[in-house]
Amino acid sequence: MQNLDFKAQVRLQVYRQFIERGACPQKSDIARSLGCPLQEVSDAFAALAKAHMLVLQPETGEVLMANPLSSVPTPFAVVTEHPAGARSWYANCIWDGLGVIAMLHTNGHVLTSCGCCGEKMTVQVENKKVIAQPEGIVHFALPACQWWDDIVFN
Amino acid sequence: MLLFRSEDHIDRWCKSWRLARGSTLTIEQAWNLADAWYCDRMSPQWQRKSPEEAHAIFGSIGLAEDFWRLG
Repeated sequence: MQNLDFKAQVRLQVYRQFIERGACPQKSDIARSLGCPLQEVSDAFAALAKAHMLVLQPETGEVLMANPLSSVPTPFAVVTEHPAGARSWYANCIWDGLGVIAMLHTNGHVLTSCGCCGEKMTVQVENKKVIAQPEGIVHFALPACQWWDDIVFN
Repeated sequence: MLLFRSEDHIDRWCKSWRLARGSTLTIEQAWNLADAWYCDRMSPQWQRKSPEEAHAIFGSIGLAEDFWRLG
Protein backbone atom coordinates (compact mmCIF):
# COMPACT_ATOMS: atom_id res chain seq x y z
CA MET A 1 0.00 0.00 0.00
CA GLN A 2 2.81 2.43 0.82
CA ASN A 3 4.04 2.48 -2.77
CA LEU A 4 0.58 3.29 -4.12
CA ASP A 5 -0.62 6.81 -4.69
CA PHE A 6 -3.58 7.93 -2.59
CA LYS A 7 -6.22 7.37 -5.28
CA ALA A 8 -5.00 3.81 -5.81
CA GLN A 9 -5.12 3.19 -2.06
CA VAL A 10 -8.69 4.47 -1.92
CA ARG A 11 -9.71 2.34 -4.90
CA LEU A 12 -8.15 -0.77 -3.38
CA GLN A 13 -9.84 -0.15 -0.03
CA VAL A 14 -13.23 0.17 -1.73
CA TYR A 15 -12.81 -3.19 -3.45
CA ARG A 16 -11.33 -5.00 -0.45
CA GLN A 17 -13.99 -3.79 1.97
CA PHE A 18 -16.74 -4.45 -0.59
CA ILE A 19 -15.58 -8.07 -0.86
CA GLU A 20 -14.96 -8.58 2.87
CA ARG A 21 -18.28 -7.09 4.01
CA GLY A 22 -20.52 -8.08 1.14
CA ALA A 23 -21.65 -4.45 1.06
CA CYS A 24 -20.15 -1.29 -0.37
CA PRO A 25 -18.13 0.84 2.07
CA GLN A 26 -18.96 4.50 2.50
CA LYS A 27 -16.53 7.40 2.31
CA SER A 28 -16.38 7.49 6.09
CA ASP A 29 -15.33 3.81 6.20
CA ILE A 30 -12.49 4.47 3.77
CA ALA A 31 -11.37 7.60 5.67
CA ARG A 32 -11.32 5.64 8.92
CA SER A 33 -9.35 2.74 7.47
CA LEU A 34 -6.79 5.02 5.80
CA GLY A 35 -6.64 7.46 8.70
CA CYS A 36 -7.30 10.50 6.56
CA PRO A 37 -9.84 13.36 6.39
CA LEU A 38 -13.21 12.61 4.78
CA GLN A 39 -12.69 15.38 2.23
CA GLU A 40 -9.58 13.67 0.88
CA VAL A 41 -11.61 10.52 0.25
CA SER A 42 -14.39 12.58 -1.39
CA ASP A 43 -11.81 14.18 -3.67
CA ALA A 44 -10.30 10.78 -4.50
CA PHE A 45 -13.77 9.36 -5.27
CA ALA A 46 -14.41 12.27 -7.63
CA ALA A 47 -11.07 11.77 -9.38
CA LEU A 48 -11.66 8.01 -9.70
CA ALA A 49 -15.11 8.66 -11.14
CA LYS A 50 -13.69 11.15 -13.63
CA ALA A 51 -11.22 8.46 -14.72
CA HIS A 52 -14.10 5.94 -15.07
CA MET A 53 -12.66 3.81 -12.27
CA LEU A 54 -15.74 4.21 -10.03
CA VAL A 55 -19.32 5.38 -10.64
CA LEU A 56 -20.79 7.59 -7.92
CA GLN A 57 -24.34 8.21 -6.74
CA PRO A 58 -25.38 11.66 -7.99
CA GLU A 59 -26.56 13.18 -4.71
CA THR A 60 -24.38 11.67 -1.98
CA GLY A 61 -21.21 11.05 -3.96
CA GLU A 62 -21.03 7.58 -2.45
CA VAL A 63 -20.10 4.63 -4.67
CA LEU A 64 -22.82 3.32 -6.98
CA MET A 65 -20.62 0.99 -9.01
CA ALA A 66 -17.17 -0.38 -8.33
CA ASN A 67 -17.36 -2.48 -11.46
CA PRO A 68 -18.17 -5.29 -11.56
CA LEU A 69 -19.86 -4.74 -8.18
CA SER A 70 -23.03 -2.73 -7.59
CA SER A 71 -23.74 -1.03 -4.27
CA VAL A 72 -27.50 -1.34 -4.83
CA PRO A 73 -29.67 -4.38 -5.59
CA THR A 74 -29.87 -5.32 -9.27
CA PRO A 75 -31.29 -8.24 -11.29
CA PHE A 76 -27.79 -9.80 -11.25
CA ALA A 77 -27.11 -11.56 -7.94
CA VAL A 78 -23.74 -13.30 -7.77
CA VAL A 79 -23.04 -16.16 -5.38
CA THR A 80 -19.49 -17.44 -5.02
CA GLU A 81 -17.94 -20.38 -3.23
CA HIS A 82 -15.82 -19.61 -0.19
CA PRO A 83 -14.28 -21.83 2.50
CA ALA A 84 -16.49 -20.15 5.10
CA GLY A 85 -19.64 -20.63 2.99
CA ALA A 86 -21.37 -19.04 0.04
CA ARG A 87 -21.04 -15.29 -0.36
CA SER A 88 -23.08 -12.94 -2.50
CA TRP A 89 -23.02 -9.53 -4.11
CA TYR A 90 -24.95 -7.65 -6.77
CA ALA A 91 -23.42 -6.93 -10.16
CA ASN A 92 -24.33 -4.27 -12.72
CA CYS A 93 -25.09 -6.51 -15.72
CA ILE A 94 -24.49 -10.05 -16.92
CA TRP A 95 -20.93 -9.16 -18.01
CA ASP A 96 -20.24 -7.83 -14.52
CA GLY A 97 -21.97 -10.77 -12.87
CA LEU A 98 -19.51 -13.08 -14.54
CA GLY A 99 -16.83 -10.50 -13.80
CA VAL A 100 -17.29 -10.86 -10.03
CA ILE A 101 -16.55 -14.57 -10.33
CA ALA A 102 -13.55 -13.84 -12.57
CA MET A 103 -12.25 -11.11 -10.25
CA LEU A 104 -12.36 -13.45 -7.26
CA HIS A 105 -10.83 -16.40 -9.15
CA THR A 106 -13.41 -18.78 -7.76
CA ASN A 107 -16.45 -20.81 -8.73
CA GLY A 108 -19.91 -19.34 -8.52
CA HIS A 109 -23.13 -18.52 -10.28
CA VAL A 110 -25.15 -15.53 -11.43
CA LEU A 111 -28.87 -15.49 -10.69
CA THR A 112 -30.73 -13.38 -13.22
CA SER A 113 -33.69 -13.49 -15.58
CA CYS A 114 -34.40 -13.12 -19.27
CA GLY A 115 -34.23 -9.40 -20.12
CA CYS A 116 -37.40 -9.81 -22.20
CA CYS A 117 -39.78 -12.14 -20.40
CA GLY A 118 -38.38 -12.39 -16.87
CA GLU A 119 -37.92 -16.17 -16.88
CA LYS A 120 -35.36 -17.17 -14.25
CA MET A 121 -31.90 -17.91 -15.64
CA THR A 122 -28.79 -19.14 -13.87
CA VAL A 123 -25.24 -19.00 -15.19
CA GLN A 124 -22.84 -21.34 -13.43
CA VAL A 125 -19.04 -21.03 -13.61
CA GLU A 126 -16.98 -23.95 -12.39
CA ASN A 127 -13.26 -24.26 -13.03
CA LYS A 128 -13.60 -21.55 -15.69
CA LYS A 129 -16.27 -23.50 -17.57
CA VAL A 130 -19.60 -21.73 -17.99
CA ILE A 131 -23.11 -23.14 -18.38
CA ALA A 132 -26.37 -21.19 -18.62
CA GLN A 133 -29.64 -22.82 -17.52
CA PRO A 134 -31.69 -22.46 -19.63
CA GLU A 135 -29.34 -21.69 -22.53
CA GLY A 136 -28.98 -17.99 -23.14
CA ILE A 137 -27.55 -15.26 -25.35
CA VAL A 138 -25.92 -12.06 -24.10
CA HIS A 139 -26.94 -8.83 -25.82
CA PHE A 140 -24.97 -5.57 -25.76
CA ALA A 141 -27.38 -2.84 -26.80
CA LEU A 142 -24.91 0.03 -27.09
CA PRO A 143 -21.67 0.11 -29.07
CA ALA A 144 -18.47 0.27 -27.03
CA CYS A 145 -17.86 3.93 -27.87
CA GLN A 146 -21.16 4.84 -26.12
CA TRP A 147 -20.81 2.76 -22.95
CA TRP A 148 -19.84 5.69 -20.75
CA ASP A 149 -22.40 8.11 -22.23
CA ASP A 150 -24.95 6.65 -19.78
CA ILE A 151 -23.25 3.93 -17.75
CA VAL A 152 -26.30 3.35 -15.55
CA PHE A 153 -28.51 2.53 -18.56
CA ASN A 154 -25.71 0.54 -20.14
CA MET B 1 -25.80 -5.95 -21.02
CA LEU B 2 -28.59 -8.45 -20.50
CA LEU B 3 -29.08 -12.17 -20.82
CA PHE B 4 -31.91 -13.46 -23.01
CA ARG B 5 -33.41 -16.86 -23.62
CA SER B 6 -33.30 -16.60 -27.42
CA GLU B 7 -32.71 -14.35 -30.42
CA ASP B 8 -36.46 -13.82 -30.62
CA HIS B 9 -36.51 -12.46 -27.09
CA ILE B 10 -33.70 -10.04 -27.97
CA ASP B 11 -35.69 -8.79 -30.96
CA ARG B 12 -38.79 -8.30 -28.81
CA TRP B 13 -36.80 -6.40 -26.17
CA CYS B 14 -35.18 -4.14 -28.78
CA LYS B 15 -38.58 -3.39 -30.30
CA SER B 16 -40.12 -2.54 -26.94
CA TRP B 17 -37.24 -0.16 -26.12
CA ARG B 18 -37.16 1.20 -29.69
CA LEU B 19 -33.48 0.35 -29.91
CA ALA B 20 -31.54 -1.03 -32.83
CA ARG B 21 -30.23 -4.50 -32.28
CA GLY B 22 -26.70 -4.41 -30.83
CA SER B 23 -24.16 -7.22 -30.63
CA THR B 24 -24.74 -10.71 -29.27
CA LEU B 25 -22.33 -13.05 -27.52
CA THR B 26 -22.57 -16.68 -26.58
CA ILE B 27 -22.38 -17.33 -22.87
CA GLU B 28 -18.87 -18.70 -23.41
CA GLN B 29 -17.79 -15.49 -25.13
CA ALA B 30 -19.32 -13.45 -22.30
CA TRP B 31 -17.40 -15.47 -19.71
CA ASN B 32 -14.13 -15.12 -21.65
CA LEU B 33 -14.73 -11.38 -21.91
CA ALA B 34 -15.49 -11.11 -18.17
CA ASP B 35 -12.44 -13.18 -17.26
CA ALA B 36 -10.07 -11.15 -19.43
CA TRP B 37 -11.59 -7.83 -18.33
CA TYR B 38 -11.89 -8.39 -14.60
CA CYS B 39 -9.31 -11.01 -13.59
CA ASP B 40 -6.84 -8.33 -12.41
CA ARG B 41 -9.34 -5.84 -10.89
CA MET B 42 -8.27 -6.56 -7.29
CA SER B 43 -4.60 -5.98 -8.09
CA PRO B 44 -3.18 -2.92 -6.28
CA GLN B 45 -1.50 -1.86 -9.52
CA TRP B 46 -4.65 -2.18 -11.65
CA GLN B 47 -5.09 0.51 -14.30
CA ARG B 48 -7.90 1.06 -16.79
CA LYS B 49 -7.23 -0.74 -20.02
CA SER B 50 -6.10 1.40 -22.92
CA PRO B 51 -8.23 1.28 -26.08
CA GLU B 52 -5.51 -0.85 -27.67
CA GLU B 53 -5.59 -3.33 -24.76
CA ALA B 54 -9.38 -3.42 -24.85
CA HIS B 55 -9.45 -4.01 -28.60
CA ALA B 56 -6.94 -6.85 -28.16
CA ILE B 57 -9.25 -8.50 -25.62
CA PHE B 58 -12.32 -8.02 -27.82
CA GLY B 59 -10.46 -9.39 -30.84
CA SER B 60 -9.21 -12.43 -28.92
CA ILE B 61 -12.78 -13.60 -28.39
CA GLY B 62 -14.00 -12.79 -31.88
CA LEU B 63 -15.44 -9.32 -31.29
CA ALA B 64 -13.76 -7.42 -34.07
CA GLU B 65 -16.60 -5.51 -35.72
CA ASP B 66 -16.98 -1.72 -35.48
CA PHE B 67 -19.49 -2.13 -32.63
CA TRP B 68 -16.53 -2.97 -30.37
CA ARG B 69 -14.38 0.04 -31.32
CA LEU B 70 -13.89 2.39 -28.38
CA GLY B 71 -13.23 5.42 -30.49
